Amino acid sequence: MSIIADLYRVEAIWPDARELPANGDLSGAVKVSLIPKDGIRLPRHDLIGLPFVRRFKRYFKRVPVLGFNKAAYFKEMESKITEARKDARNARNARKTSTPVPFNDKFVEPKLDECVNVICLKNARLYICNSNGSVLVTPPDYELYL
Amino acid sequence: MAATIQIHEMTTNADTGVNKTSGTVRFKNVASTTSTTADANDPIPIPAAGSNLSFVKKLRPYMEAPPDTNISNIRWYTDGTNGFGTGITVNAKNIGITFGTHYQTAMSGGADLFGYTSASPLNGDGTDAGPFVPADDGTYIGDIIELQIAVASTAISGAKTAETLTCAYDEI
Repeated sequence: MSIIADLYRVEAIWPDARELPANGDLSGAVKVSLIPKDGIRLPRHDLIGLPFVRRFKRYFKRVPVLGFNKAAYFKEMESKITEARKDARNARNARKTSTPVPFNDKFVEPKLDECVNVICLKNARLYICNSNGSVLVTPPDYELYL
Repeated sequence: MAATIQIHEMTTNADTGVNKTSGTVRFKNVASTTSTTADANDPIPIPAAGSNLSFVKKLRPYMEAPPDTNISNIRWYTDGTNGFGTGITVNAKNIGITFGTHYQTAMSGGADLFGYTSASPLNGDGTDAGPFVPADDGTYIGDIIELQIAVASTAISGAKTAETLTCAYDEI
């Protein structure tokens, strides 16, 4: 399975046919392409004739903190209950001596990791979202954090 | 191939921690050297008056697999909304690479964690400054972020649903 940072491949063309440098420099390029590696799910982006400066990826890594996922915790606890305990619980419920209380706490879907490819131009920045291929154009000094 | 960066909960020193990338950083009434497990043990009791503090948690990025060229610009932030309700606050600060100790007294010099948002994130590489290169593979990168939760007498009892902390970084 591809990790989200690897969903796009970057290609660039220079008039002198040089190779894409590893340091992210795009100055002088005449065409920069972001090509989805699977070729199907994401749109391709071709940027032509723009004043390119550099490129990089910005990765957003999510960490759940300051509490825990109650739904997942009780699901795990439920999986550890022995058969004897379940039998006892069923017998108790059959006698109707107490009413089972369903776990009904809210469950917040955790935010997923995200990655954007950033193409810096002299007069703008293009943020291309790896999860859905959408593009955000911002001023050149704007820092996008999702 | 993109780098693999993990978020670790630090235990005994600035270069030893537990991977929390797919887990939860659980605040407790004991130090991380005793337990980093996300269970219901050692919760923070609600005091009759004033506030009770958790032991601090220390987080740091770990380079599990190297980037092609480098990693830089590490930033930490939240969605800006404290979802824990009345009486629960969280402080955070960057402590550089000086590990210090696990303590339960009030953090000095910290600021509200939820004040660090996508518009004004907490700098995560001010002391251990990048860029971090492939030679840093298998090591901790950037600064240690210290967190502490305070539970006031007005808090509502029960386990709280986790909030999300985001660690952002640039990679070439």
